[in-house]
Amino acid sequence: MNSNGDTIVILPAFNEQESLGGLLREIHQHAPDYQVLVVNDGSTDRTADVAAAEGAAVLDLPCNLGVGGAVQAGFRYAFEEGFAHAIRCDGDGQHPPSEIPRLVEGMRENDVDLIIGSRFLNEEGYTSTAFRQCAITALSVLLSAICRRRVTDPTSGFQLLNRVLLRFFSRSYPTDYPEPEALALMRRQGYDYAEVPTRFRERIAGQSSISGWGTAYYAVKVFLALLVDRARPVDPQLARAKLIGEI
Amino acid sequence: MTQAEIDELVHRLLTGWDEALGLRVFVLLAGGLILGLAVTALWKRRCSYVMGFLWLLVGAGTVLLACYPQQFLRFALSTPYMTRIRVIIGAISLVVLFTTLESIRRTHLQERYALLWIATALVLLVAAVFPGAVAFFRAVTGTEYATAVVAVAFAFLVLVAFHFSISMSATQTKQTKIAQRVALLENRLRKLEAAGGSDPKRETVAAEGVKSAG
Repeated sequence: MNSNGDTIVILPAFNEQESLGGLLREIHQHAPDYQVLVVNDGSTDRTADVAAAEGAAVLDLPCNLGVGGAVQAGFRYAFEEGFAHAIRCDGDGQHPPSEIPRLVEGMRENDVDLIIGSRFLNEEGYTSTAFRQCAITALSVLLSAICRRRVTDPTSGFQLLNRVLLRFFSRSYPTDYPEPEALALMRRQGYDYAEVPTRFRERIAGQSSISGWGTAYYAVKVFLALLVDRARPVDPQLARAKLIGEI
Repeated sequence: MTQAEIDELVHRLLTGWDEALGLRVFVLLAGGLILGLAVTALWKRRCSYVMGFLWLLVGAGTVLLACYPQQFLRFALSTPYMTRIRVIIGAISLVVLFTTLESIRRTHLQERYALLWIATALVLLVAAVFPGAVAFFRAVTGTEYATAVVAVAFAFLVLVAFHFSISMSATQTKQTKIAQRVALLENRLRKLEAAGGSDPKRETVAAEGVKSAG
């Protein structure tokens, strides 16, 4: 399938009816040329209706799959509809649409498949709890070593992907808390990433999926996944050199 | 427990049972109820002959226990306790085997999930019929017969549990793929309907279906 050269913004959303409308208008204001896809991850509220009313395309998942499954559904859509690039940001408003141009510029300047918007690259006034900060630092050190490429914000879901990576992620993407594991997986198959500094903001509404015991579970799950992934053989069917010929 | 302590326990059971009249009446009623239910079920053909016969046996045993406690218990306790353990283990293995095969027959259980259960039941059965089968395990670990059998059965149950975890993960992966595909197809269908000027009646039905599913 050939690419149409367009960019799509993918928003996974679970019960985000309060914040979604404002966020969609904001995206339209800052990136009017981009199409928007809302992946409704089995919400029990009117998330899908709000998205459709604002003119976004909607993928209605019949049951809740978690962030990984929802985002992957968005990647599949983006690939099958022929988009050249996809921007992934959270439906809770943490990732300000005004920062999207920075990602796009990053993709133009670097010859990579993925641009990550990092909170920590320039230390632009982002605060987090001490425990979470500590876990993220440990994770970024470990992940930078595994990937042999510096990463400061491995849990960031504010990303810009190119088409070959969309192809790869629609075939293979981790389930819950996918971002760090996805970085390790793509590096192993020959894909590359770079970071650009971006500003994040407090979520408009809703609750983080990672809080309290969730942080500990997150840490253990991600570290286990990173270690086990190392022991997995590289799949030549999904290697960058192979997929680049298929898109 | 020493042999003397076991003998003491047997004696207490034998003499105590005679005097517990209330308990005996209760057991008698329970046995009568089981017999009655089994006969009705057999009469109305609500269960298979094998199941009916087994329940009749259970009911008859309970009634016997209530009416002739001395003779019944004396016979049961006169056997060496190695024999009793073997009978109990054999009974458990037969129950597992029967339940598994019956579940396959009623298509409640797929064969591939039943294999490990059948293996567990067969291992228990072999251990009950040939006590020498676990001799090697007993020699290595220095345990009693019953402990050895339980340990071997436990190993098989762990295998069963692990098999379930694996197939659950596989099922979840497939479920994710199916859910994504459904959402993509639904999106495409809505686009086609919007482009093709669809029948408004059908559209409301589709919208309601989505709401009730959410």
